[in-house]
Amino acid sequence: MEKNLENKTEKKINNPLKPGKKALANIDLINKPLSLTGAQIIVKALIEEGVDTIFGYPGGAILPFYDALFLQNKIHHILNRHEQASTHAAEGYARSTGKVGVITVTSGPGATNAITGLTDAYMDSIPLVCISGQVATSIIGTDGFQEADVTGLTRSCTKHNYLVKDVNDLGYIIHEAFHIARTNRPGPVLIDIPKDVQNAHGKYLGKPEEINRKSYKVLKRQVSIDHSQIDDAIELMKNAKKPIFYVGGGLINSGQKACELLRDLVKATNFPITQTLMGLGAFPTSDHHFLGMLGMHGTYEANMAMYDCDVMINLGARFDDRVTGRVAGFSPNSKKIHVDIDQCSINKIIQVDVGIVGDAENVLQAMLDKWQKLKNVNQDNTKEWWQKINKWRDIKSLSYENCSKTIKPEYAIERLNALTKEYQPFVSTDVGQHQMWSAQYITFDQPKKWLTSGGLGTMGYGVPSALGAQVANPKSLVICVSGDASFMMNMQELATLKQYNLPVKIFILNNRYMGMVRQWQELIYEKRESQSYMESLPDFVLLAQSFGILGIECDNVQNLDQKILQMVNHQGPVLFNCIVDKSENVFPMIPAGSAHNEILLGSQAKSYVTKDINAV
Amino acid sequence: MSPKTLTPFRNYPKIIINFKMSEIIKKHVIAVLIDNEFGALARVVELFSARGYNIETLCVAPVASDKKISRITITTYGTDKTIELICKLLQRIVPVHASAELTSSYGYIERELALVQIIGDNKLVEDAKKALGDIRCQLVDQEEDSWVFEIIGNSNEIENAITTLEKYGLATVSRTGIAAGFKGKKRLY
Repeated sequence: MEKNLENKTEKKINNPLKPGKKALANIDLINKPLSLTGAQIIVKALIEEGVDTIFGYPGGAILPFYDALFLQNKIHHILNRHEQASTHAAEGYARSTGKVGVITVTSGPGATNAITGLTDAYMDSIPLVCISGQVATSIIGTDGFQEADVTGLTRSCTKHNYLVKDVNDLGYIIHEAFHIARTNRPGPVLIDIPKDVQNAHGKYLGKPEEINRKSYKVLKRQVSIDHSQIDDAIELMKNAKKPIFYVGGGLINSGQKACELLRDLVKATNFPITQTLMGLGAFPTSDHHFLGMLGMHGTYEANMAMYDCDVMINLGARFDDRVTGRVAGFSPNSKKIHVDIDQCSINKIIQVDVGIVGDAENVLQAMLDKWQKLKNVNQDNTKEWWQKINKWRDIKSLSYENCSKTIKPEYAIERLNALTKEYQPFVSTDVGQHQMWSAQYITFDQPKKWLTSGGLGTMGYGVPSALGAQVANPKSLVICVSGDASFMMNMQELATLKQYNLPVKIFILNNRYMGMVRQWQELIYEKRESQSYMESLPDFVLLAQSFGILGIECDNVQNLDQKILQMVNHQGPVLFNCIVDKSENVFPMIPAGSAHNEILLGSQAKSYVTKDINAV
Repeated sequence: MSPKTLTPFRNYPKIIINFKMSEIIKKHVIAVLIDNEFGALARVVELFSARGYNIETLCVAPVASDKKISRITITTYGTDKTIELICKLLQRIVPVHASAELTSSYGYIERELALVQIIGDNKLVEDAKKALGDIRCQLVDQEEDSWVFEIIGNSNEIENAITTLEKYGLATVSRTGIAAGFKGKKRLY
């Protein structure tokens, strides 16, 4: 007891930040050279990292930090209604800006709730820093209240994590965490900070000029690309008769410059290009070189071109199983070039002929320079290839049978795209059929506009990530395309949208099903619809109203355009319940375990194929 | 050199052949240089456990004079393909400086130390020593009829020694797991 009292008085003397309410506005943490508490060090280090927004949820073990946060005015805190939503919001923020997303959560359940989002960010290479409170050092390992072994739990879903045991290490660790999160292949980093470390006083030396961790070499901007490998790649490309670019999310992580270089290279080479789900937007999807997305629900022309090509240039994609299908049947006759910043990704799934480890920007610049110096490139090399591709294109694999009564989900997305394209909106999605239709029918001419959960496929990602993107881009139109099932996984975030008046437009394709589950059950499990039907759904309009936001419902084709415009023109957040055909399936589809040439087509496209068999 | 044909450990099922070469389960020795900090070893070990792989032996100790870097030597049984993947993923761990699969191409050397306790009289111990033959074996502790020897050799020799000593009053065994490195001039860094 006596000891406690002593601590309290000591705290009072040393703590420079115990102002009355009047002083609050004048607090400037940066200019206080005094010894700081751990909580103040966190705030100061975050400010020095340029953080202006964090997403989080307070709780017992992180209270010292939240108190320090209260006493400053440089960092804006967004209070989500669930920690999973905080992590997705930070992902949306990071993906739409290229900055590191920051999350603060409390110990135990706060941290475990954040794990889904951290895993999602790990799979999709999104830079995040998650600060989690932890029970006091003396209680760790004693089954304390709200205690969980967070560094243990997150070890396999973070790029790196820390448990801070000494307040004097805290500042450096935070800066190193940001460095690791944003460099090389980006990813989430977690810092677990016990409550007593947040309360203890310690030194803060400021942001180090350079973080130099010997075991972690940064590839970006380093002129260490293997030029002989690039020469080999150019040699293959020069002689290619049937080349294709296969581009992934790595390009978007590399940045705007890399995407511009890609455009130049595609233009210079006149090669066709396909993009993965995560890569959409790296290259304008309205350009005629673009064959559409590839993979399980990619277009016929993209998948056939991947199967048939003789040189494949993979830029920042990782041969995911949703892209390759059956590995043994994956593009059997091609020479493969793989550019990736992560050397582990090269030869991980598919053996390649040329592997280049480096940042896409550097590699593309070198490739472009070398290509432009080439002489005697025969422009006719790829002429036949383009003719073949155009025949595949004529099949129109994305065509669908429209209906004048019920709204076809593809039609709804097409109309949404047509009516909002001019605003160049950010589009986030949840996971399932609506995600694939969005990927297939929405135009992305800019990188960083497309927010989706690719690797982990997390239902509930859409609304919070749109929220994060809207926070980062307050003047832009942000649309979340969702499904009735996915939306309900994080619908508590409507309260967050309302609180900060974030005008996110949530567009639900409501078919009363977990559509993708039902589709697989129809195609693979003989239509046994086990647990995929939503027997009870809320009235989405009333639901929206109860949160104080606008709800719109549309169930007929005639009103669709007008109601979409009403949604877009509304100033605040909107929940749009679009009642669509219950039984529509996503096509084309490559069933799991099949090769690209074993693609299934929708009835429209199929009838075309039977009419003109020579086209295939 | 191609490593000597190594007999699997006693309790381990014999080599399983599934017709495909890549699916043959065999012994792999992996060396890792890693920052000497908490959590680092766990990250390495989880790469194996997450794939349902058991670590047969594990040997960790700091190797730099400032104790900042440790070397881990791991023996495991698995398919070439999975081990190759694990070795790739090792590079991704932030505190890992370098890693290599020693069994893959280059020749390698390995040593292990075992402390074995024998309960018995002078005669039994003399007989045991004779039975061990060439194996390097030294007395490190004795109290009444309890004798503790250190045995040094590759894992095969240790295996053989233990099998032999079972007939000569073997009471307890403590093994370090192997430490291993490349043959010749090649270094791990």
